[in-house]
Amino acid sequence: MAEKKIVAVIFGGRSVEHDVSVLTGLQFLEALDPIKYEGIPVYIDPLGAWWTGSTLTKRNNYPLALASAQADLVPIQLDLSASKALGRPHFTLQKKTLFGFKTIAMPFDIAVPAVHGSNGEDGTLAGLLDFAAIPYTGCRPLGASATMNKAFTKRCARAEGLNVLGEFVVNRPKARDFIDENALLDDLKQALGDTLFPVIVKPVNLGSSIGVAKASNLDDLIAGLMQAFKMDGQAIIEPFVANLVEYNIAARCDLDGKIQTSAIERPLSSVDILDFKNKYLGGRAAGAPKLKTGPSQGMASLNRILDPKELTTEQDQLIRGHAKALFEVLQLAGSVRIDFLCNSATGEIWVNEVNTIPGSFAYFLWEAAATPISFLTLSNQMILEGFALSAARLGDTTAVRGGATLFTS
Amino acid sequence: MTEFFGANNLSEILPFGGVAFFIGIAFVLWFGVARGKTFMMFFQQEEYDNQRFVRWLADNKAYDQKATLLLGIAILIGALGHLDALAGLSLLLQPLILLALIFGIFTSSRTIRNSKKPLVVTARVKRIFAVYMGLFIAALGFASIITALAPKGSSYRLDIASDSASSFFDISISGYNWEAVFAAVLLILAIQAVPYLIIAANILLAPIEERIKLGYRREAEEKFNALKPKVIAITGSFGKTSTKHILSHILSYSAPTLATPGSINTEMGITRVIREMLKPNHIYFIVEMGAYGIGSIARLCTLTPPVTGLITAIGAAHFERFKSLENVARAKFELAEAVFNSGGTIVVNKDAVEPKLLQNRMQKTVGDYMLVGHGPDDMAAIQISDYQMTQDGLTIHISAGDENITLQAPLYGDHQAGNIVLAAASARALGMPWSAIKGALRSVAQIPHRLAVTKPANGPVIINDAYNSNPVGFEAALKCLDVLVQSGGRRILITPGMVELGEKHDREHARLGAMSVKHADIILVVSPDRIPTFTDAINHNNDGSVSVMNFAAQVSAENWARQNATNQDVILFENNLPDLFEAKIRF
Repeated sequence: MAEKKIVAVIFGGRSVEHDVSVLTGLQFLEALDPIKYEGIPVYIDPLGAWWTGSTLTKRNNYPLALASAQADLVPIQLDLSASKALGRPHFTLQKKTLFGFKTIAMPFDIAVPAVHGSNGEDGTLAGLLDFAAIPYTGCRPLGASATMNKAFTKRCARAEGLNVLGEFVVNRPKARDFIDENALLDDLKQALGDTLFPVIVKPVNLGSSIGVAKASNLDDLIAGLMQAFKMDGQAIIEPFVANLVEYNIAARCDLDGKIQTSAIERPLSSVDILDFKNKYLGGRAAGAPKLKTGPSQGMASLNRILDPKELTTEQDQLIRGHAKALFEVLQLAGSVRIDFLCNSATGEIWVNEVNTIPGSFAYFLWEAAATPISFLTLSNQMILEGFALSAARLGDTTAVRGGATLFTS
Repeated sequence: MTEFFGANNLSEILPFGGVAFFIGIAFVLWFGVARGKTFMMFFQQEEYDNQRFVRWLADNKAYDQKATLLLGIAILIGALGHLDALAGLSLLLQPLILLALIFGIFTSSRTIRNSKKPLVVTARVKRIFAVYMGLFIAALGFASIITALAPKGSSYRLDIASDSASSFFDISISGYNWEAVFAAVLLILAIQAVPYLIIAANILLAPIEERIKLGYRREAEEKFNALKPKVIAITGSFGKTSTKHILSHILSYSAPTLATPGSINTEMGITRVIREMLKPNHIYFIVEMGAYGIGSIARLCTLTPPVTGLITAIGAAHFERFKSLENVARAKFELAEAVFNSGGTIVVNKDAVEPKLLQNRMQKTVGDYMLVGHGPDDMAAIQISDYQMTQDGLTIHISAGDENITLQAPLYGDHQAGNIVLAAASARALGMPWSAIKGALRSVAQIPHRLAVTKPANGPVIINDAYNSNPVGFEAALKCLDVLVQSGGRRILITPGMVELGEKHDREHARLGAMSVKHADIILVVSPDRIPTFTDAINHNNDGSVSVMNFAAQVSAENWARQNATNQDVILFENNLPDLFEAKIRF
């Protein structure tokens, strides 16, 4: 039997979703098939330094006291010299010896980006890995960065004839300059219609629900925009959907090259808009810090209804069709989650956003799919797909998605 | 090696013989480090002010007792060594001295461990500590020499026999050794000298510190003049940190803004902020200026000349330093002079300054004043017509000229309404439109330790007002209890009272005690001995519906609250005094 492939799961990151990413990363490590793979944790701390060590695999150890003398926590660097020339991809670490420092290479075979939000899910990490010719799982830079920009995603969806809400994008005014309220109102009415309020304001480029605000009047809108501009140079304004219900679905490409969809979930939320706190803290009565108290399951523990009964066959088909179409047009990969908005009174459904690295890789949606697959199978398929896509990019014509016979080890 | 010392045997010149001496010295040094660090911590809290530190020593009786007592016993045993009854005990002498040192080390590190405001190891602390250790070691060397010279040898002794069976009297030889006694006496001196050695080190370093300060200031001035940010200066007896926080938040929505962090408001502090934190992209620089006496703000204004100034309040805080409100006002209004020199505006919270005092000052220093306060008032350019406090924070209706504006901020407390409007008015004076000011205010973060409200999903609502130390803030915090309590919950107050109120100490505490009874269901008083009028007023006004408990330490009161509070309760932590005022220092 072939040697085990070493899988470097990269999590944490310089993102507001840092903590959730730790959970996703650790879950993926636990899900790996121990016969085929050996997982190594690679943690990016909130300042951007990279670490490895077995301390990282225990949820209870977070938040980490990096400064303290944790013997097995070592700083590592990703070697960016193209791995093709040097053989296997590797991290380097400095080891202290009697005669000063010695550089040691820590080889691996494939990276698994599990960093949510900025500096990870937005395609920057994928781009970095592509640049270094390192195989990795999930979306390539194109799909990852396209879906990070909410306005761009919607334009792509609209071009494909998919249902999306109208939107208006506002750029951040330059320093010591301010939003012209009247001009904004005029523009908005033109874009979204005369009965404007309430509207939803979001930063264009952030994942999750951070910085999302509902505005019922102009004051709210200005406050929401100013808040969004603290996080992003662009904000997007959309009409507020009355009787809002959200539906999420995951999509992936199987080993035969066919796009599959998972079970549909309806996240439970008591408030009319799901903000960050609700998304990640909701559903847990304790509401205590997420990482310290086990056995938190991150997104997997969010209260939800799987396969909601109220969905009609048409609605179900619309959601699945939209998800597959988006997956295809944006050239996505890995296990991605597509979120939909629904007016439960009229039954209308719109694409809301795409998460290319969803919390917990949305494994719970796959476990509940019509043809259920386990997280172990999912992780295996993501890895095989990752090898294939990276090999294809490097010009290996035999390695295409769906023809992954090279990797039957 | 022995020739080196000019003696046949090293142990001959060292007291107690070589090995015992070195063990002893090691422990003495350890003691010197541990005790030195402890006093250094308090010296830092007293802002390296020799006189304040001496006063602190006297007030807290912070001299060593336990180790000194043990050494005293050692002296007694040693001095009376010729008595037969005590002769056997002389063997205990050296262990006893060692025990005293270990005890001293233990009490020192315990004090450090229990401290709420730990020693911050700055370059200055390192310098003072190094010189202190030098002095301590020099003293030790001197003590060793004296100890080495201690008389020892043998003496003849005449014993008069009591039974006549033997010879009538007997001459015997007995050894005597005063080394241990000398060592113990000198050690007591050294132990008691520790705080004074720190002061001596500080005095020795004074000229160097002055030069270092000047160098830093020059560096800061150069950087400031190169970057030229717009300086907004804030001063006032209270409310300045909150106002700074709010204004900084508002302005940051206009352009990159830097504000002096925490309570930094001295020349050294501001110098450091300029050197370490000021960046070329900062357009606004909000500087908190502390009035530590007449002339101190004028001096700060030469370092960072302000274009806009805020005076938050002229009040009773730091009364001990100024003696009269007139003096406080004079010190703060130095800011007005500096701002007018650069053609700027001074924004004053008129509600927090006595009208006569304000008028007097405005006549003496003439310029562009923008008064803010509760209306109607012809003097005030921006008037608060009305405000409400709900679970979501403050909603404030103001009128500015012809405009009526509603400000909303997730902050709490009557006095915070004034601070919010003051900050908003200043942002307006700097050219920000009201819509942007309103928008920014919606997302103001809680101000740490200043009526900061946290609403955990599973636990009581917490109002953290630990840094407040004035009666106005105390009152405002009490009112928040009523607003933030959930139905069926209890209002819990934890407080050690206030400090630096001068002659008003008793009166203010009596007033607040009576008021607390109206706004709280449970009152946990920390160190009640310090505020007798507070507890008296509580007991006097309590009709039996309020439970009152006394605690010696903050931590035990907090533990009680932690164990007994329910999710519906609201807990107010009102003023959490720094070490100087609460902890009893016992060595």
